[in-house]
Amino acid sequence: MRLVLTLLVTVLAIAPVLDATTSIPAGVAELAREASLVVLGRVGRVTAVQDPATGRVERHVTVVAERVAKGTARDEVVVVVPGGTAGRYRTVFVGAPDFEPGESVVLFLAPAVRGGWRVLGLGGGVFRVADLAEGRLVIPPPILPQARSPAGASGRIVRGAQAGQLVTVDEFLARVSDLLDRPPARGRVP
Amino acid sequence: MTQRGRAVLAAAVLVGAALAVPLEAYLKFGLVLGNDVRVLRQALPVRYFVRDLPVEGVSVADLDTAVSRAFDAWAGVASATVRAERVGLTSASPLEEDGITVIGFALQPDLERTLGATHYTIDITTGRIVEADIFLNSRFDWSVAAGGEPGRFDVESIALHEVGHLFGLGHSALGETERQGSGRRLLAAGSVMFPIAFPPGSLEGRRLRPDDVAGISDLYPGPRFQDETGSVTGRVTRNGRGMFGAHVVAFNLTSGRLVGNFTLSDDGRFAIAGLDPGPTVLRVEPLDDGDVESFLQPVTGIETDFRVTYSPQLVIVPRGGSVDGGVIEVSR
Repeated sequence: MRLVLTLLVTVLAIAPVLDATTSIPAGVAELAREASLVVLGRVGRVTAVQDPATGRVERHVTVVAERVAKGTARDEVVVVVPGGTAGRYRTVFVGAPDFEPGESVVLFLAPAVRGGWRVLGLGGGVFRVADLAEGRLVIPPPILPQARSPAGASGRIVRGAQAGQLVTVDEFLARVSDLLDRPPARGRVP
Repeated sequence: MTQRGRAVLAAAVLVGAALAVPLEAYLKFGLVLGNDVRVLRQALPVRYFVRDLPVEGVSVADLDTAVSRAFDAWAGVASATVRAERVGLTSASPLEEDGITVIGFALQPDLERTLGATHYTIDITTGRIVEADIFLNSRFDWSVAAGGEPGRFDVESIALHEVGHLFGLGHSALGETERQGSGRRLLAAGSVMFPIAFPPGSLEGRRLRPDDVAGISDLYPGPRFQDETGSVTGRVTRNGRGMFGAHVVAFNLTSGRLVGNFTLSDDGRFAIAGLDPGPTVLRVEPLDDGDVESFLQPVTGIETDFRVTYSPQLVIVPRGGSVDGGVIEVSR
């Protein structure tokens, strides 16, 4: 019986990589404060590049900027993300976010040491945007300071407490701007 | 879920059915190789080097001892078979691809919130793990003090988590955080494999929990593991439709132990193994409180917009067998 049940379940991890970091969590307010650039954009190219000195592979993710909520950016932003595949070897920097061409994201970015931009908090500074019947939503809804949880501004974060509380990308960027104590940006900065 | 994800998932089902893979009930690292999905398992014993680079407050000997204790903790799980062998010290960096497994400190200034991480190099033509390194980020302050040290993170705690990854375990979602100022902090964790660290000075992360024991035993089962524990399977649905990516927690009413897993298919099926026999409550909850990618990739199709829901009835987990926990319907 157990074997039969075993065969019925799908329990293999479904991805080439899962996160394997130990991290310090960040709130949206912290991300907003620490970021040099907060941008809504659409992922374009994802290119793997191998460092000849260390052999490690990193991905250069080109994001076409639609709106900038903090900082200045040209039309395209190149985000450097550790890990990728070069030839027959895949460097899996577990913890680094995955990006698919065409997807929309809000990114909290800082300058990378070796040029380009990096995502703050690895995956923690990535917010996915989905076009749904209810609007252009941030999925899952970000945990914002104050108001968005019955637990309040300083209480426990309770799973499921946000159910039904949809957050559009416009609302999210407006909240980010509020956190920065400045008016929302209206468009991309040339 | 993306078409890619579905294809991967379908491949996993087919592989499982064709090869009669054993019950895999804990979140593990998987590797997509063509149409195949493989669980990453280390060849045992894992042979590792320790980097001979100290940081303020932690000598090389301190680091060596703390890493050894972390490996010993995993190897000490009676129901699992994991083993490791320390080869020696090395000047090699854990950030280099050099074919050896190195654990040690390295400065990662771009990783401002990452205390430590495990990374693999994999030959994608064979699925072989060429190497797996662990770095502890020296931009933070570290300690090996027996009682912890205010303002410093505990080396052994973080090493214990990362060594779990080295053996192939993914993250557990058994943890709870709270807002603190403009940020967050960890309140409690039911697993050292929870991805968020306890605050500096804490030693909470030094002790494996039942969830960790279930996970490592499921991945490297000892001869009596399946005879002495039980498992539960079931489905999570919403409006009658299966749901991918829901977190399911099994709580044993007698022992008080918690073990978690996720629904890992489009039809919402889950399996949780390594459970104490006896009456068990199942709780389903969304991963809406953090970085979903920390647990599952791809994230497309993961539903988080529902309320916590309990199974309508207790399940009695049998010793050496499995019980069908039925269907748990969730809603917004």
